[in-house]
Amino acid sequence: MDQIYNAIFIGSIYALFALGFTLVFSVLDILNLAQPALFTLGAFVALFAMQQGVPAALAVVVAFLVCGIAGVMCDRVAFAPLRRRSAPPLSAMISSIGVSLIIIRLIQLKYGPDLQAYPAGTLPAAVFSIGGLQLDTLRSAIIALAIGLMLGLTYLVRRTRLGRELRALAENPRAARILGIDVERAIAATFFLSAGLGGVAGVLYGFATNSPFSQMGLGFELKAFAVMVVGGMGSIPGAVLGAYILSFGEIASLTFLPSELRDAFAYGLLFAVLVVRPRGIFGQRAVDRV
Amino acid sequence: MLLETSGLMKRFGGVVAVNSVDLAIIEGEVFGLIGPNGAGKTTLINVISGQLRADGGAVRLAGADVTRLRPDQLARRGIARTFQAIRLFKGLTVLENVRLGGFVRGGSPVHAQALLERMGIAARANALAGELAYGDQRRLEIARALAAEPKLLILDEPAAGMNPTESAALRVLLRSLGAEGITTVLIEHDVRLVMGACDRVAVLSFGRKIAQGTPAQVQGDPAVRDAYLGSDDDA
Amino acid sequence: MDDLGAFLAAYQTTIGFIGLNAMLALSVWLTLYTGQLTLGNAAFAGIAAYCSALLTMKAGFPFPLALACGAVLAAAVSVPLGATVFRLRGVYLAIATLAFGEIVRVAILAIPVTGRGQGLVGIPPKTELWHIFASLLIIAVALERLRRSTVGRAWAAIREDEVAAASQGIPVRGYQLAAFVLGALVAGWAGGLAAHFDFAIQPDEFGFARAVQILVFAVVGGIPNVLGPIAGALLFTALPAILQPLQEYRDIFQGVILVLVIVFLPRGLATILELRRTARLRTIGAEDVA
Repeated sequence: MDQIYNAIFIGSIYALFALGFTLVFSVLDILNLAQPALFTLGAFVALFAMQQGVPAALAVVVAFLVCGIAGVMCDRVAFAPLRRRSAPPLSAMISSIGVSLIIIRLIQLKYGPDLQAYPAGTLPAAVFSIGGLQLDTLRSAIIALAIGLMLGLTYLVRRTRLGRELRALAENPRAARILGIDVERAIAATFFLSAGLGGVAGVLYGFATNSPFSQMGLGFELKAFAVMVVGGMGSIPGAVLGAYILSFGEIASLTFLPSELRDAFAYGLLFAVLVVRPRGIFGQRAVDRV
Repeated sequence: MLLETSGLMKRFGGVVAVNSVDLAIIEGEVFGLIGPNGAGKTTLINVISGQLRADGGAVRLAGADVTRLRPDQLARRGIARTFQAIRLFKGLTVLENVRLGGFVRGGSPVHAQALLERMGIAARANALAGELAYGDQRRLEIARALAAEPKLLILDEPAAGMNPTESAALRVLLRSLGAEGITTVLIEHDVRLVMGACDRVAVLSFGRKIAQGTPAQVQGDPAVRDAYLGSDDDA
Repeated sequence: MDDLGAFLAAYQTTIGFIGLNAMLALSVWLTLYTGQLTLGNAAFAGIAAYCSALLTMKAGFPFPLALACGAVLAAAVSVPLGATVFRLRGVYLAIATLAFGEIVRVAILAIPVTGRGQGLVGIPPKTELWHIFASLLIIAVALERLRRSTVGRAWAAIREDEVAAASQGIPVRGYQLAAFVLGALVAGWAGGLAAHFDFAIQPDEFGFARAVQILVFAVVGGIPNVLGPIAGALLFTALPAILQPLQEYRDIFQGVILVLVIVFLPRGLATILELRRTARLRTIGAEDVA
């Protein structure tokens, strides 16, 4: 039972993280490889804030905002100039690698490469029981928040004007422009949300493990790719579904795989999906017709 | 009979873009394919030249079934084509483009240069293909297609954007191809070009072939007029 | 001349790695030249590294034979991989090769004979600088000649427009696969040399980070000819040594250089020598890498 709870927890983190990638990919067709750096940044912004005495819940908000702004700045510096000359997606991916290197190194300069810990006593440690199950407050709160954010994002995409603009941009950028949509503003909003969500995922994961460290984004990055491919790249429901499929699959596979091979499940699943049905569950065509 | 299609079908989801089309194209002729926009002409061509997979029917080239072959395999059997939305190698030079056109024949620069002369763009041999004016780009695409010394040349709207002088020159070129052993299939909207260059014409509408014959015969056919202008019954 | 000797001795490792990195950069250049992004070359190097090291250590193979076996093994693995994944477009191909790389890394961790997480130690240090640079020279000359031949021109056509290239009779998949396999062979040779250069190898040396690094060498250096990747490898390998006092900020410099190059000199540093051509390409919107 604890396994299931754990799977839901990890799946929620995967989902938040992958949604950041998905948003950018669906609107711009590029893979923002700075996303893991923003994930890490979130955890560390929260750490910094809490070291100044900011309460944990507020630190999450701070992390969201700071990462969101960082995301927009990344776009201004590393992606927008490429968009202006219609550079292919590969260029943007490489540019994002550069940004990632810079962000991670800056974090390392301040905090070093080792595991850190959030200030003692700032994180809830209570445990409670529901019908015979032992659950802890921290992870429950994280799950609730993550699901809340996913619902919020879904609402935003389906029911708000911004959401309609983003969907229009994802479908047909040129038509969107002609229809009068302020494309740059919509893109900035996309990066803000994407980075913000990634940052929140980072904080929440950091809280749960209480050991944020500068390379924490790397392992998640590859899992996020697995999530996106399984669910379908560019699909928000796909990312959510893919995240839980992966997390449940990983937990299940632990029954017959040694723990150091746990990661292999994600990569194996990723590879298998790419071979059999590359577009995943909800994604677009992924195979060339030639 | 150089190229035959029998019952060729192509579907996109629920839409039938090419609906049981039969063609029989004679060696050495210039065969026109016309019809209103959206009739399926380019789709038909894409199926014949391998860019799209047929959903039914067959394509035969000089008697051999080539329905399932890839574009590069068809190129080696002697089919060359140009594209409606010009597909040149924009970042490579004009000469390079034509050399690559002759890929199946070795890609000789001398041969390529001669083709550039023939198409009147030799002066731009070292320009990047993307730097050329639109009309020159169309002529380059034709030169590139000819470099393969094809048996069957498929041209998709080669005269689009050409001025009257240029399309007159194109007409002359097309009439000369038969003598060189090249059969040509031409998709075109330019009526004068079709009348002046084609031996026979087929008309497509909503994916079906609705008429075939000499240009004069087809021009006088009421079914053809209806296809372009819409039937009187709708009025 | 004594000074030269002293210089060489002190910087032997760095100089050796410049050569090794140059070969690895050339290996990824091959697929980039055909317009595809693959991230599996670090894994190919790893496969060959372990294979050749085990052959010299455990089976007493002569050095050149072990190197050859390693490279051939890497190339052999790349054939079914390439056949499977090359029908995927763009970003999916990148992710698939990345997943492959991770599967290799996990496999190394799982197989006892490789020393697993501890890595393989005690590899006979048979690689001399001249081995590295002779190999580099031969490979660079061979690849440049290939680039200028019909094959190379076909690769350039594929990069420009796959559909048009196919209709000229170029077997697109076959040629892309050839570039990929050749790249695996080169990466494998470099991997074998690397294993015998440093006494020990570890799985992490051949993972995602390394794959990204050699991609950066190639892209920043530029892909119009073989000098580009070599220049890129030289710059980024020598930079940390040159910037000794600024070691701390090395990653930041790398990141900044990467972004600057992609944004301002998209065809790479090597094209500084042909700015006019870049300007002409810019006017027709064709100045980017792939």
